[in-house]
Amino acid sequence: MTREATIRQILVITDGCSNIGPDPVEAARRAHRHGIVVNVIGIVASGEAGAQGYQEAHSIADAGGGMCRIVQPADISATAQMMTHQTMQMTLQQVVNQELLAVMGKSTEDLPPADRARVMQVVEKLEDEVALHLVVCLDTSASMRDKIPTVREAVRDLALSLKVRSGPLAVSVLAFPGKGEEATRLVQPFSAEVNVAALEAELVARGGTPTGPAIDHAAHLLLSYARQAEDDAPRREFG
Amino acid sequence: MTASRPLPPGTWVVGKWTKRRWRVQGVLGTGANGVVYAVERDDGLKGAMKVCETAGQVAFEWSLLNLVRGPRSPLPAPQQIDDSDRPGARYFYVMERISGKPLDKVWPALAPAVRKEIMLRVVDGIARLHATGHAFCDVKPQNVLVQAASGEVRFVDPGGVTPFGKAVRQFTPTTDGAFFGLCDRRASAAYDVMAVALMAVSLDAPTPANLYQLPPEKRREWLWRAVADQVDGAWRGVWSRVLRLEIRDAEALRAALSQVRVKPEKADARPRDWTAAFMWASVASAVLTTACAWALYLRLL
Repeated sequence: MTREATIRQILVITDGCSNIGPDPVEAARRAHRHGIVVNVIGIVASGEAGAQGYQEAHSIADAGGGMCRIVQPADISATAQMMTHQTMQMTLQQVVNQELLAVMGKSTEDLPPADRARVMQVVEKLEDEVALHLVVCLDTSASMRDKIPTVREAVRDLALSLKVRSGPLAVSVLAFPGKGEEATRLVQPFSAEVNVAALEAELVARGGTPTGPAIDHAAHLLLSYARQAEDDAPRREFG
Repeated sequence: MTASRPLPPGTWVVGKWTKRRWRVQGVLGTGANGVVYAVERDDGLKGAMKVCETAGQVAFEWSLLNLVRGPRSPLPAPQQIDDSDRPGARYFYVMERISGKPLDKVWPALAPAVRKEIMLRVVDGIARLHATGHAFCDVKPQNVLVQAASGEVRFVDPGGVTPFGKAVRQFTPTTDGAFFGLCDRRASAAYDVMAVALMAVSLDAPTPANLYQLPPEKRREWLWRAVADQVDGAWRGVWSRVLRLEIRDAEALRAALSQVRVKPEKADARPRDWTAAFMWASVASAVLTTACAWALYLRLL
């Protein structure tokens, strides 16, 4: 926990199946092997029933150690916030579990339920204080055209939730596909705030859905940002 | 992490730690992170069982309920936390089952004076929670239950309860001040008071579907228009003051609300029954006629 005082997450917001580039499920598995959690929000247009396309969304989240929710456009913002919170809690709980196993030979599940509550209070405190590096991958394929304003506001809204935590925040935003031949495009590099002007200018719906390349790109961003942070300064000791 | 089918009524859930048994009576609701069942314990105690996907989530909400518990807590009293071997109820806790209907269901039929009474009780519940150093955060009509007989107001869903000063972790956009750019998303008395005002506005003015794609400035424009055009005039002043951040805690809101002059319940709202009046008028005219006749007879006139 002393060195790994940062939680790294990718949040994919998409409305359909990937159709360009490598398999997104494999990309998510690779990212997860590097300690990155991949969450997926699948968007359904109102009245749309076809849940078939969302099997992939669930598979990506399973491979990426994260959560998947299929929601109406209006619910993206609250869902994104809830998923980020819950998966941060899950990650920290795994860390605490490992510590408990090492110290007491017991995991949280082996404790009587009433004692787990005390462990969870610790987890909650950690969640508030830990650094969060988040890459939001936005599907900007042609079918997303009507939903882009809602998604843009949801990302702005997510940042509002995350920036009131005590711990440091770095958010980056990717769009897939990018312009011209690009599979992905960096809309915003890591920053403590979401650049709404950049979101407004860069999010243009067009082309196919290269979900796999987007996850690979996001994982690369997170890992190089981590290396950079390590080189820059002595890390703040945690806890 | 896909949602599984809910437990059918009649299922027994056996607690591993407490050895108690609960019989599932039906589903009360499905939340963002789990399902709530109506249950009855083996000794007949009625309860509401919250089942989550992970032991952590159950333990976390349980700890929240215990932080705010008390004889007059607006939230359900915690009963028991346990695990079971039954798929679909591995990790759960049981709390007091709160009867009543959600505020949005009862609101349309309420008389103005009753609405005021209910609002005061909501603020009272918020005030009692604030006294424990916590904000409710996820204030919304669906989380406020009103008991028909007594008019008692209770809150359900402790998932949003947050210590003052910490980031809000569970909210609903339409009752979230930050969604409208009116305040930040940090748990405080002012955050809850704002949420109560937004909830009151939402009860009179349905949220348009396109609100979610508008930036905060445009959302505020809609909000102010809704307050001006759709909200009952008697309340407009109070809610405007909350939205302008002039009222920032439950005590100040209670004081302002008690000044609201609601229209008195109109007795002639229902069709009036004229039979009694007609009868009395007939008696009166008969008495008068008789009196006049006597007067004439006795030459008093």
